[in-house]
Amino acid sequence: MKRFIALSSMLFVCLLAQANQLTMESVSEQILQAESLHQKARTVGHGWVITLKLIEQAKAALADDQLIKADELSKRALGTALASVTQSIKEKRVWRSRKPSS
Amino acid sequence: MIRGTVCLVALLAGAGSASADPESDRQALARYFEQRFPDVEVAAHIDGAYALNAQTREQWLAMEDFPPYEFSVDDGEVLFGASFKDGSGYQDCFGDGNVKAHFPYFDLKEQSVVTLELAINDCRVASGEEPLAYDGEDIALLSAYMAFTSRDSVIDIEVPPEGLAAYEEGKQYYYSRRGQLNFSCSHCHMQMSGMKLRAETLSATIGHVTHWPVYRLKWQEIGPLHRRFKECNEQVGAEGLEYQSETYRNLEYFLTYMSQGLPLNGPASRK
Ligand code: HEC
Repeated sequence: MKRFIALSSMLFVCLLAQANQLTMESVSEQILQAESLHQKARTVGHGWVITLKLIEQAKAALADDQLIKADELSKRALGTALASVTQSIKEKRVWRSRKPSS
Repeated sequence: MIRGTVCLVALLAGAGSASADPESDRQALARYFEQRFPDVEVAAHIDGAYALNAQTREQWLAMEDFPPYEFSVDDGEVLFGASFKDGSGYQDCFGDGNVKAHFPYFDLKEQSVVTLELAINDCRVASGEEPLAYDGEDIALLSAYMAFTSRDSVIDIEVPPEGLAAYEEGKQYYYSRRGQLNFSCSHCHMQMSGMKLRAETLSATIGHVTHWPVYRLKWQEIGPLHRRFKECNEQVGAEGLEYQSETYRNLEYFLTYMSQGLPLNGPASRK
């Protein structure tokens, strides 16, 4: 029983610590990362509409103190921003294969 | 060492000719569409999707009996004839307006592509006038008038060695996948040309620049080529760019060379 209580309280402390990781600052940081990646894609003509939309929604959720929602949205924004940068890098390599050969 | 240098020179020369020869690009593209549509002459593509769909062509020809851009040409003529404050006018820059066949061109001094819209604003600014907004009505009307006076002239642009990088950038833009849907311009307007996307038949790359500006029923007004670029970008979830941005001008430069030798037939109407 003692062991159970000890384990449970450890788990509780862990969960608490994890919840604590989700702060205004950490989510803001995540949004900034998404924005910076999006900007990177954009400067080479590969910005995606969805990324901007997600960033705006994440910012709105954050302003509304909806941390979990803001976290989720900014994670998605980070994902699409990363995909758009990946697209730009890959396309630089392969676009020529699409033009008809002379 | 010498052998290495020779190899390098040969490689560079080879790379140059492979990547930067607008005329062989144009010929290869024309062949592509000749093979894809053996019954459609290359020059017929200036009518866009209406060259590939007999049914919608009928409706379009009926619409052209009373062309919806007619008033725009008239209004454009009035704007074109008006004088600037310093007494000069558009005629001093563009004569009677029949100049479209030579646009866009690569400006050696500015080291960038000059489209007709850009030249209209350059003409104004040189006379102390404010530039017009690229998404505004006046510039569309002026270019409608100039497209009209340029009708039947044959596209005749140049890509000097200094302009090759801009041309190549336009070409790369055209063939690169973009947006969340991961489509390039060429996916829709080459591989899928002639097929239907929702209710629309997809037109061919060749002829894409000959007829602008366009009165679109969807827009309920006349609008420029770059508006169509933006819309096509957004269709695939990509962010559209500013009208007359360097990238769109380079794209127009590439596309215009792909229509080199075709007659101008603007302004036009489209769904
Ligand atoms: C998902 C498919 C799709 C993609 C990708 C696409 N377009 Fe289009 N485009 C269309 C459709 C649909 C139309 C309207 C039907 C037509 O004229 O082909 C159109 C029309 C056009 C027209 C007008 C043709 C005319 O006759 O007036 C131009 C020019 C054009 N597209 C250029 C581009 C360029 C440049 C790109 C890349 C930046 C591009 N498109 C990417 C679907 C696409």
